[in-house]
Amino acid sequence: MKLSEVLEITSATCIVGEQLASIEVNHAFASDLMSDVLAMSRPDTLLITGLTTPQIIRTAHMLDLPAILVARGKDVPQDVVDLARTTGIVLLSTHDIVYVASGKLYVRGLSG
Amino acid sequence: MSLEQSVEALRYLGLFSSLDASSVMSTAVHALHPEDRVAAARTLMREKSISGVPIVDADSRLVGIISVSKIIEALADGRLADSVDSVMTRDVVFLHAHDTFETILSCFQRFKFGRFPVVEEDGKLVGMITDTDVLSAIIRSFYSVYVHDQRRTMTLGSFSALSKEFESSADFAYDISSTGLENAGEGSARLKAFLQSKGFGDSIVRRASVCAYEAEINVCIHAGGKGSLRAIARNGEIIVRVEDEGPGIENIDLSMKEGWSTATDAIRELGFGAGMGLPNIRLFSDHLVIISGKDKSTKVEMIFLADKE
Repeated sequence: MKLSEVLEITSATCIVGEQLASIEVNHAFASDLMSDVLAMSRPDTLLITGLTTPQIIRTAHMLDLPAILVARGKDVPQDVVDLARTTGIVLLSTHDIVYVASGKLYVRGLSG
Repeated sequence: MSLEQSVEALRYLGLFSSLDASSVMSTAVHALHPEDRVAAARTLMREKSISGVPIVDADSRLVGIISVSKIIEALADGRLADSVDSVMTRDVVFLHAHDTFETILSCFQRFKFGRFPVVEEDGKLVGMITDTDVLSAIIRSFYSVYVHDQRRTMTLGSFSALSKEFESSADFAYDISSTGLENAGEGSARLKAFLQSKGFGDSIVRRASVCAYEAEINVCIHAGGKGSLRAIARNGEIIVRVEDEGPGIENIDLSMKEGWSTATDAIRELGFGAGMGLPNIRLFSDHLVIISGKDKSTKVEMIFLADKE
């Protein structure tokens, strides 16, 4: 699934990396527990999370995850936005809660 | 895959190359002398829950072994008061202290005994090897987690051999200095860029980065954010060492269990401290050595092999 489709399905906005909307993700992982995310080492995965700490970017960076979808429309602090930019991670934001965003993407074919 | 095939595959990986009989055996051995009574052997087996007792002479040299089946025979014949000498097996199958792990395995496969005495060159008994000892050695080779016990000397050799190299000529060095979790991961991000610049493949770089990151987070959570992250990366091998000044890990076995953590709620709110750090490191590293203790510094050394991918 292209990130542009993720944007459309979850009515998300792109905070960082608009030019990368054609990137494909084949899986998604929803968690607020970064160690659980780290335990799952699969690069072509979209991270869905309710956290907005710098550690979500660090975690995605270590795992070569291309993009993060922040749920519940939270404000993402500037330092986190900057870190996403310098590490080349696409940062998306949706007003959906994690459960709803995950469900919408799942029924449209984005597997776990 | 059969057990033999599994062992063959593991042998190929060189996991057991450093194991010899002296490092596999139990050294807490209960032996008897030829003049002891059979009844004493029976009592010893019952009290120590063992199924065979080695018999040694006055100079501790192995002269025989007495097994449960011999005791049963002696019981049936009413010979419990006889000397061990009269019922023991004299033709003992034994191992030498320097025998390789392969020799030990082939001994178990060939003779179907539950235990083998281990002797020095001069024939003196120094230990026993049971199937449980073999299993423990295999598990130790996989996890290679050593704390302050006698097993430590086994791996410390290789650990300290690299210490000077880490001090004087590490390929990558970063001082961890973080007051909270905000900067945690900076060192691992730099390490990742360094490893990529060295031409290592995506997968090994990812594994090394994830492990370095978990270890760096641990320094920030548990050791006041002060420590070092260093790496030696050459010849298809990445060795990452993360050290701090304490307060140390009181119980390494517990800390290796998924879900066990001493982190605060504040840390958990940041997405860490769920007790997955060291288990994750174990999952993604090819070899792992952790040296720590209560009120001691912690050293975590992780080895990643490119040819294992």
